[in-house]
Amino acid sequence: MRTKKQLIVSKSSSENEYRALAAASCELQWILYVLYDLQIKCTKTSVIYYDNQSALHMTANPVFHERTKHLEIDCHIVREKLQANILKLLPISSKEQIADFFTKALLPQPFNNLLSKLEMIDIYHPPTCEGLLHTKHVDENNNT
Amino acid sequence: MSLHTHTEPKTFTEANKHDCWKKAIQDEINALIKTSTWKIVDLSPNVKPISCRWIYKVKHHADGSIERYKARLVAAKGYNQIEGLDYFETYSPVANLTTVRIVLALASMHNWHLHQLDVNNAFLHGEPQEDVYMIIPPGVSHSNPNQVCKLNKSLYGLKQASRKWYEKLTSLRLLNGYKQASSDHSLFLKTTSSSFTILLVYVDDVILAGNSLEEFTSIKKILHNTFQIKDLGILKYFLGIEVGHSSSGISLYQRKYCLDLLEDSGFLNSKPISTPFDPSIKLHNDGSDPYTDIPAYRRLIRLMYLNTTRPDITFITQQLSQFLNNPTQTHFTVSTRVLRYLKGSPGRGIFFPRDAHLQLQGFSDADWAGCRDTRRSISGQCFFLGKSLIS
Repeated sequence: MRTKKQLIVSKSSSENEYRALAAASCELQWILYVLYDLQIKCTKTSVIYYDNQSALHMTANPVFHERTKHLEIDCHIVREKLQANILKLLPISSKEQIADFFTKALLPQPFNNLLSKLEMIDIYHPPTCEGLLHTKHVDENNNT
Repeated sequence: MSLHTHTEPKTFTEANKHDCWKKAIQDEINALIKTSTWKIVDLSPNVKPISCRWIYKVKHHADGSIERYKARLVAAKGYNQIEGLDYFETYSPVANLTTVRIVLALASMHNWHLHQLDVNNAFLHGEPQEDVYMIIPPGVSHSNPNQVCKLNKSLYGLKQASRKWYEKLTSLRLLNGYKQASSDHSLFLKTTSSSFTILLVYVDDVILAGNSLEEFTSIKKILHNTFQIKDLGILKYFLGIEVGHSSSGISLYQRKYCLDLLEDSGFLNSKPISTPFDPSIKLHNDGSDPYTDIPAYRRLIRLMYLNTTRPDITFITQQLSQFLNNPTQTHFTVSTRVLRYLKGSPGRGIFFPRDAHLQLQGFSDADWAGCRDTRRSISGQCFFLGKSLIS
């Protein structure tokens, strides 16, 4: 859960998406190091979900568009990890994209929709039984 | 109890009027003398002693009741210490909060025991190699006014205090079969054929996680013999984070911190609101009236310390903390809305369920040119281990 303003201005939207992806894959690598130190083996390959098509294509074909060529380093970071089978990249619909939560202000409905996916809980106000692990968006109706 | 005992005194004379504080000071002096922190020597003419002062603090339990009164002697004006003469290295690592969450999430999945220790006067155990002289603190009796303390042990406030403590601790850890993890230097591990123990150090707070209570007992004993520790039992309250255990999992929340923040800012009785920010407002350095009470704005943005357990306000705190220097009225209004949102669910926190498969899942996204002033982009990411939000 991290929001960060990038250090460089991006010319194209795929450029900045890609830079975010490179940062995320580095974080993922570090978490895997910690797990390795703790002698924990993950049962499945790690995944990063992503909703930008052009960035996904760039990982598949290393053809650098003129605007994206200085992205080369970020690109190689991600590609190297993909080829070493450290992680997989999977597309996700924007509606399900939890990271949206950390990059933009959301309307009440998508906000509560994503909030329920974060597995948050309020033990002082437990939700009803059927939603044991989900915080229910109680005041969703008040605001729409 | 009178009102005076609840407020924290600022000066030694003020504190010396109350029995509870007098006792706290005496206790601290006794502890310092017991560990032979200093030797009283005559002041040689070419030495410039550093000054010191007492800090008074009322310690609270998680429920707000008073735990004890605490007086702490600190070396003041650390900036008078000269590099290469009074100190050399000062860097000391602390645990990454992500590591803390990873350990707790794994503890939940594997049903590990979780214990917590507190090292008494942690920084006082460090031993500076440098010669450091300090004026004799008020409350300590001495015969000759021209005398100073030569420090054998470090004191809070010395530039090298945290490093010396860390050095002392690591030297001990390595001796007892604990291996330091290379990914996070505050994480230590010991594995035997039957047991698995993790020791996580956050300055002077220690978390033990593992499957063997015998190993816990033995490491506690070793630590106690060297440092004097307080065994706090099962992990409940750590770095201001409250930890709840149940059969379905472990939850982390900062209800007390959140309520304190609401009370300090006068929002305890405000009307809750369902989202922390209004999507129609884009925060930037707008031309609206500057908000004049900058310290008050900065006090509000203590919100950021809720980030450990509140991913729902991560984005807005990042946005608001960009304007700590020159907040405007708009920024202040937006921050009050966050408080009203928190009012609706002060006890909400992240939850680590026990039943989960081990897979690391990440989500990454970026908002292109999201910052209005510089047109730089905002990137966001989060990671789940199984169903537990860890980073």
